[in-house]
Amino acid sequence: MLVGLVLPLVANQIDLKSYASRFDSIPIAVLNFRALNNRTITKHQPWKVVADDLEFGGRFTVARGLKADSARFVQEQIGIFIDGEYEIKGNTVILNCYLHDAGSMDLLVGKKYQGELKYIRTMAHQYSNLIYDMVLGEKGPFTSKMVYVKDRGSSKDLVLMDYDGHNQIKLPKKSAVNIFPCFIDTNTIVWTSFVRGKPDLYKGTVYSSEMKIFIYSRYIETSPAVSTVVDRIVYSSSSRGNLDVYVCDQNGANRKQLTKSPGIDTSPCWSPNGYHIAFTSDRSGRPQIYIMDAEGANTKRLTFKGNYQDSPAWSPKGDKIAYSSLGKHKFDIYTINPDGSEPFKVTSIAGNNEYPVWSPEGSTIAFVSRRGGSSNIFTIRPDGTGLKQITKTGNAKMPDWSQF
Amino acid sequence: MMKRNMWGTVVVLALFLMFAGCKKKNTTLEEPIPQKPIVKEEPVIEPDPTPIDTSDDISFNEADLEAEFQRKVRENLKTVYFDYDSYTLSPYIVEQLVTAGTFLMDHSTLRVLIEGHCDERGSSEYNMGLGENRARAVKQYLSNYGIPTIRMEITSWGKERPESSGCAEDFCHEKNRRASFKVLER
Repeated sequence: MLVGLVLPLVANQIDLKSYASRFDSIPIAVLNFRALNNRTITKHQPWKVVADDLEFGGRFTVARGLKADSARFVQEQIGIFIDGEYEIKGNTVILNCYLHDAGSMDLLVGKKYQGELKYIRTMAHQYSNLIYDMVLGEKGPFTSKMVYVKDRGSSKDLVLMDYDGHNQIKLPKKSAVNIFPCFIDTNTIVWTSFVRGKPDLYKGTVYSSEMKIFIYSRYIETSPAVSTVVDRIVYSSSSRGNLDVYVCDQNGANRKQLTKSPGIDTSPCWSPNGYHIAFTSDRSGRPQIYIMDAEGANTKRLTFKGNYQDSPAWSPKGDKIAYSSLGKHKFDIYTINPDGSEPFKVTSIAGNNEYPVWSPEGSTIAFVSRRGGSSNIFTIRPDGTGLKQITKTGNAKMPDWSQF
Repeated sequence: MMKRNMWGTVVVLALFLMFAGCKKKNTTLEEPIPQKPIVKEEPVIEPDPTPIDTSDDISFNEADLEAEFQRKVRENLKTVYFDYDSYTLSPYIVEQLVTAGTFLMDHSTLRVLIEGHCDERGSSEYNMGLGENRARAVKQYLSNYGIPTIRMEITSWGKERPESSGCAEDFCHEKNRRASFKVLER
């Protein structure tokens, strides 16, 4: 149980939007939160969670400190700062978070959260979302989730986690090769499973062992992608020959074949407005990225450099498509404009870098980096900065990032 | 002396005749003696001093037959290996598929699943299609050989079930670029 209350706005001496517009990355200080009794939080300190959140997408430059320091604020052009306090009683915590004007020290807005101590990170993430909304006027991604495949050899499990890698939970699905998970909403996923000894599409709620077969045939049904805008699912099927791209309603009705090439057509993904679909095809001889409209017409080849591109992922703002591309010896993440212009190499780190997915607000790309026999999920900004390792135990692949 | 002996002989003879006459008289008063049944002589079977429980023999035979069948499947329905990013049937693959086709002809009740696999290079999505192309190429060849398509299912595991994982060299990768058989029905 988690309860949040907004405390009354005491003052508004700084225009947050105006302040934010002055910077590419907005200076903000996050100070240590005080414990109101002798019980302190050592493992998941909420001020650290808030600081990590705001630093995550690069929209904020975070200064961390013990107390408000006017001289430092002036020196580092910090116009706002966050502090807070908490009190633990039994298994419950009350958390008060405050945003201040760094010049006047006045309180701009405070928020009170109350709930079980195990939800302390969620409370902090919610406050980060509030700051994102107040300062940037945008939804924050900090309560979003990722689902990914944990490779255990003969079986592959689905794992759910917070966007920052915490609270990892193995989803209670039947032990099998379970791959290509994709969120329908934060509580429901569709994925490919070999429960019947061949790949079919299944749907299920994340926390239950329920898994309903959804699209199945004697052949391959794989690589689902969901558009919540048009409520349709695009996927890859070989039910009429080799792999082609198909679309259906979210309940599986109104199936329609969109591509009919003699090659392999797979990895479909939606544009954010649901008007277009990007996919991979080897119709030219090698796997390349193509786009077409949602009815399967007006197909256009997007990538020409390199001879192996796959896993397209359309950015939430619609301005970029991320994909993985094989260079001389390894895969890296690239972005390209939907008109095929400005291919840009995002990752320059060692190992194979594949399976890009965007954060819900588009500030970050999650991907899988495989090096030295171990594969983990990392995040990076589209400009190639802010690399951060999210999973650490290896054998992770095929992430999907939920919407808000 | 001789006279006395002669009388003795007469007495013995009289007694013999008397008893013999009595026996004959009794026979005529009894029920007729039933005919002795004709019994066909059977050869005498001596019981074995250590009886053998034959139940083990039966299961042993079944296991033996199963092992023999599996050996034949392994020898005739061999996994075939492909070149990198290819589903072309090399002459060596064709040679193996001729053996497989003959075996399937000779065992006309067998239904098989042909599973396509890929090495760990390349994307999981694309390899799912490549693995299926390998399985389909095998099925197509066997179909041309004369095996009804209804007896063959295909699927792909892409690169999700490698025989060797963490490969760095091609001799390791090539073990994963394969199409294998699984018997569904016999």
